[in-house]
Amino acid sequence: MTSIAMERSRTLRRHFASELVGVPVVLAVLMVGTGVVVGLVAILGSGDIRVSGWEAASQVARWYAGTVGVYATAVHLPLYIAHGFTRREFLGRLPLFLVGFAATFAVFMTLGYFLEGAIYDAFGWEHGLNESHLYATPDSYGPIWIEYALIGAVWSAAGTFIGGAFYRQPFLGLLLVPVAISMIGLVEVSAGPGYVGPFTLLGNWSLLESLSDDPTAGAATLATSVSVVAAMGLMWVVAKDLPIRTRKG
Amino acid sequence: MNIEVHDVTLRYDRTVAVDGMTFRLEGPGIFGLLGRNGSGKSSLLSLLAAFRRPNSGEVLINGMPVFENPAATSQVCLIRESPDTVEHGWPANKVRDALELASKTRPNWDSAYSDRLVEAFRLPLTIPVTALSKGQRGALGVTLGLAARAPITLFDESYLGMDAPSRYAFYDELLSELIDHPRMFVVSTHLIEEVSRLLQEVVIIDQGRLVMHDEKEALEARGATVIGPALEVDRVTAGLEILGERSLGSTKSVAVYGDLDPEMLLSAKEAGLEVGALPLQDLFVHLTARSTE
Repeated sequence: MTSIAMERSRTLRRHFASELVGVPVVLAVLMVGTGVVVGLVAILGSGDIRVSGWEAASQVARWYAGTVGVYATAVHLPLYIAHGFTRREFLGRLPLFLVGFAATFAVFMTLGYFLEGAIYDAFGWEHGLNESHLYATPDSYGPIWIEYALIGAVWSAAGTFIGGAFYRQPFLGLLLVPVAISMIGLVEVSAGPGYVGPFTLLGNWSLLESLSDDPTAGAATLATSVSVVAAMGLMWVVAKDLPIRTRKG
Repeated sequence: MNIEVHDVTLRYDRTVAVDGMTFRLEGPGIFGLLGRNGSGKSSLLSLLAAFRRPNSGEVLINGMPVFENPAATSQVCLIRESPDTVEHGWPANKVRDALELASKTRPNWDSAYSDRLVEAFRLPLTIPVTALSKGQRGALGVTLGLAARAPITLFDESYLGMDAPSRYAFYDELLSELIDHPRMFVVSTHLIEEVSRLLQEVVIIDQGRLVMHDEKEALEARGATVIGPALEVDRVTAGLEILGERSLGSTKSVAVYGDLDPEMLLSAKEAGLEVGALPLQDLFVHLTARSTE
């Protein structure tokens, strides 16, 4: 690798590293928001909290993970092309970034359960869960990290090809939305039957659920690997010759 | 340094934006890309900068295919009317963030020069790019393009929103950059009269096709402006292809197109008429009107 190629590679590495800095910031804001909502429920309701507010807040976190993927191809890719980089240079670094993102995302999602547990303990509230997961209790930090790493990976990976597709041609984006939902659904169901994130009510997931009556980290990891590889393939097809939009004024 | 365009075609669905265009520019120098609205100027520049892939044909930068070639794309900087920068990068979406991104991505970025341009164009560093006026956006684009010191810099009407003093400051910077750091500038514009003095060669396009490519002096010699008493001007220019005429009292100025007969030139001289170069703008209007017909 020439020194110029190394410098360009370093520039992209720095860009993606700086994107990871946003993860704790966004999730910290979400934690504070969740705390406020739980506090209001405690004050205005019976005062008896029985389930994790962070589990419900993870819906918002999922959309954030998807947005990170969308932003990568719909905003940052065109920006770097306009600054003299190639699509291949940028997209080639994207899978590694998504791995880093998913790991960081999972760390702060796990931290959210930990902090919530401490607060619930202080108030004597029951720290229960509403849905089935790879983790049975909100203090099973290892499985919690694994589940959110898988969810962060599939949501952000799906975001990359959806972002690229909408940037390229809105109709193509719309066409690929069901594909993205299916990929995400496969991972969500494999991590916790009966619960397909925000898409639970969208359709009949019983076929997928029957394949995962007893969710295991191995099966969920396999489902995620398949979905993420497929998402990366679609992302490449959509963005490998992405035309930069004409703009005026 | 050079740009080669070989039989390039670009289509948007059913619209042909660039239609089998072929030309070569050899730098350093300032090259004008002239065309009417919708003539394909922006599309052509987007091909030169690898923003788009042509449907057919080939674009070469210094002999290398430009599309998806880092060795070529790193040599090119395209600044569009609304510069491609950090406007969607909240919270890092301010002018200083735009300059910082360019400093990280442009291999020849000159920070001291950028600071000088920011001061000259009175750019507010702490304001979001989206909050800039059109003129300030133009000034930001010009700053990004000049300070990048890319061997091939393309300005796509990027300075049109700037006020006259800023535009003239930009023209001066272009000339001094060409002398101090020789490279290729391609300037697409409507303000032909303003920039014509800067241009070495001119490419005129219309409806996606190349209408003419030549040195500016050669283009200006394709006709003449004849000035003097109206009766004498009319006599000397009778039978010639007239592109335009203006009168002030008994004095008339007529722009004529075509190879000038030496006898006509002699006759004009004897009649005391002034014969000058054909203004580029008149030639442009004539050629593009003819092309449309």
